[in-house]
Amino acid sequence: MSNSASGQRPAIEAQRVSKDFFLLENASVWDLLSGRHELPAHRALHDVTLSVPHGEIVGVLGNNGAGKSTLLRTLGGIYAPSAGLVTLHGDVSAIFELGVASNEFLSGREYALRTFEQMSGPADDRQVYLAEVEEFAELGEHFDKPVKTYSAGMKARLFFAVATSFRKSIFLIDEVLSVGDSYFRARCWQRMRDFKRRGVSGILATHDWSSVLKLCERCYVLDHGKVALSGDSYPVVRQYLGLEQDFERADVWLTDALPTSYRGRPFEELQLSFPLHADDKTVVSILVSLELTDRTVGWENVMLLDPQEAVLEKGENTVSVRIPHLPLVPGSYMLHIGVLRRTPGTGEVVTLDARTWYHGNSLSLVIEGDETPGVASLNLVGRVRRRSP
Amino acid sequence: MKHALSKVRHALTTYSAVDLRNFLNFVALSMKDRYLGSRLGLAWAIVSPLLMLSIFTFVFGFVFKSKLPGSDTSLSYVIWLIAGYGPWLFTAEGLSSSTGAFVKHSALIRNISFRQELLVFAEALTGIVPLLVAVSFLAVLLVADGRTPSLSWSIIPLILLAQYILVCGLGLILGSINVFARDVMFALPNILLVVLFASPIFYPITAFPQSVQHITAYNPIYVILESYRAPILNAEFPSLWTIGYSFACAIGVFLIGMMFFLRLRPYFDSRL
Repeated sequence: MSNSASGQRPAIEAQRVSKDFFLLENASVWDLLSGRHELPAHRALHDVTLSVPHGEIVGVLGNNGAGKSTLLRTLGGIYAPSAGLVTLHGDVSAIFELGVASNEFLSGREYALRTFEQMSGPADDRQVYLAEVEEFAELGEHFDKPVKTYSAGMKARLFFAVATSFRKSIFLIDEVLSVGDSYFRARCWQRMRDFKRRGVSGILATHDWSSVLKLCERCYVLDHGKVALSGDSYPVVRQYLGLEQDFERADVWLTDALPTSYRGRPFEELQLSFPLHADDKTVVSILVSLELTDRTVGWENVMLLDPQEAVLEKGENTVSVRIPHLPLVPGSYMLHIGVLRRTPGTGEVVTLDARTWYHGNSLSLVIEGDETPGVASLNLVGRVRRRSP
Repeated sequence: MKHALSKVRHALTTYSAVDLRNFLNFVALSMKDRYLGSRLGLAWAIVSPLLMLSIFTFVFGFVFKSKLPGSDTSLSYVIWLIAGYGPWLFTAEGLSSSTGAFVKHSALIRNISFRQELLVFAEALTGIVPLLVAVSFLAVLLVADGRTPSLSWSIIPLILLAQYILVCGLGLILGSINVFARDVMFALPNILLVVLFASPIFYPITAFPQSVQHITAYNPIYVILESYRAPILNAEFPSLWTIGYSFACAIGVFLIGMMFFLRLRPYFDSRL
């Protein structure tokens, strides 16, 4: 029973949690008090079992009305579950909606103070908290003006700052990373990554699958209040998006001789060779990209090589990409290849074969060496050269 | 019934320091928020009842020149009136605020996990401001009437406690129902008006017909008002029976209120 291997209990645990909302339109208060009648109910959550290990942010994906907000509120203790058990090990801070309990006449500072009074835990210090909110929200002199006078973006900044400046160990975050301008979103991301570095646990509920890929190793997909899928984010998101279908084999394909992993060293030459089969002599474009998936740094496209034309002979070919002085620091990268063909005349691009995460078959590139912070990024030109078999 | 009572007991014996902090926050919040955005702010809380009391003094003291039976000055009537009307303000204000507590703070309820009955307890206390204004106003009149402070006044905090418990209990009942039938909020001012005249405040109970007097004498709101008047007007302690009856009613109503609340609370999610 006990999780003795890690010696640590999960930060959040939900065991077969269900939540019913009663449809009270036709019920009188007397019906509720007497409890004599069976009340019609809508089951918003159905037997949801979920666990969030310490130090991990788990994604909850789902369309509108799938039960994400209900799940978060139930985990956060706002709703009592109708059945099942919720267990939390830690102090919770939650953002269920932007602008909690806000009286629009309060100034930004007063709003922050009020939230502090209502939600702070033992680890929070009022001055530190206020300073952090002020710094993050970047409202300048408006911080002391009524919230009523704020623009939507300013409100979003204030509310996000207010909800995330606590020193709590568990965060429940609902659909907030998608508001605001791109600068604000970048700052939100920065904060979420700080959470991860600090070892905070939490749940990010969203319908934006890319947020989940960027931040969460694991995720759950809710559909009509039930857990439809769960597991590692990449395969789950792929399934969620319906990208699971097999590639129909075209006249050109990457053969089984293709390795799943490549290795390189920083600042040395890297040569990537791909075995390709062609049914007939043809011209294709090869597209290669490298992506970094370290979730405490970000999910960045670190290198995208221009599509290179390659003339293939009938039969087996080997196409290579050569990167002189590989400008990457050690780490693990995702390697994507696309074999494309531009249809003459229409200019339409057809993918003949690919190895990418959304096809569920991405390759990896491991750069060996000692850990170095940051990612080098330099302008570079890759070249594809056809080598005859 | 037994099950409901044990739930109430469990609820009442599990308050923590966090709950106390929340309660104090809600008290400050309920007082402040009402006047936010106004220039005078909290001053309105004092100005409004003060104006009302001044009008009463003028109208009944100088226009009608009302007198109590067996008394020859209008001032003693005004003192008698305010000694009842001040405490009435505590009941009326507290009841109106606490009845709307859950609906008004629905954003808090939807976003923060806390003991929601604390909202009612906090809102029930908002009547303390007009009560204090009335007491200060009364002090001025008492000095003008040449009266000296009496030891019997020390009983007043105890009476206030009974009154507060009663208002909390009624607030829990009305506030919980109000979540599902918002009619309560609209019916309340009318009910308060009826109760104001049924618990005689503007005239002595002896003005009622004999048969009605017997019933009114057991109206806890009236009994509590009389417990304020006894020390203020006659420098007398209210009878032990009066105090006992007030607390019995207050605690009884409070327990019923908690049962109402705990019974209806599981449905709040579906409605707020």
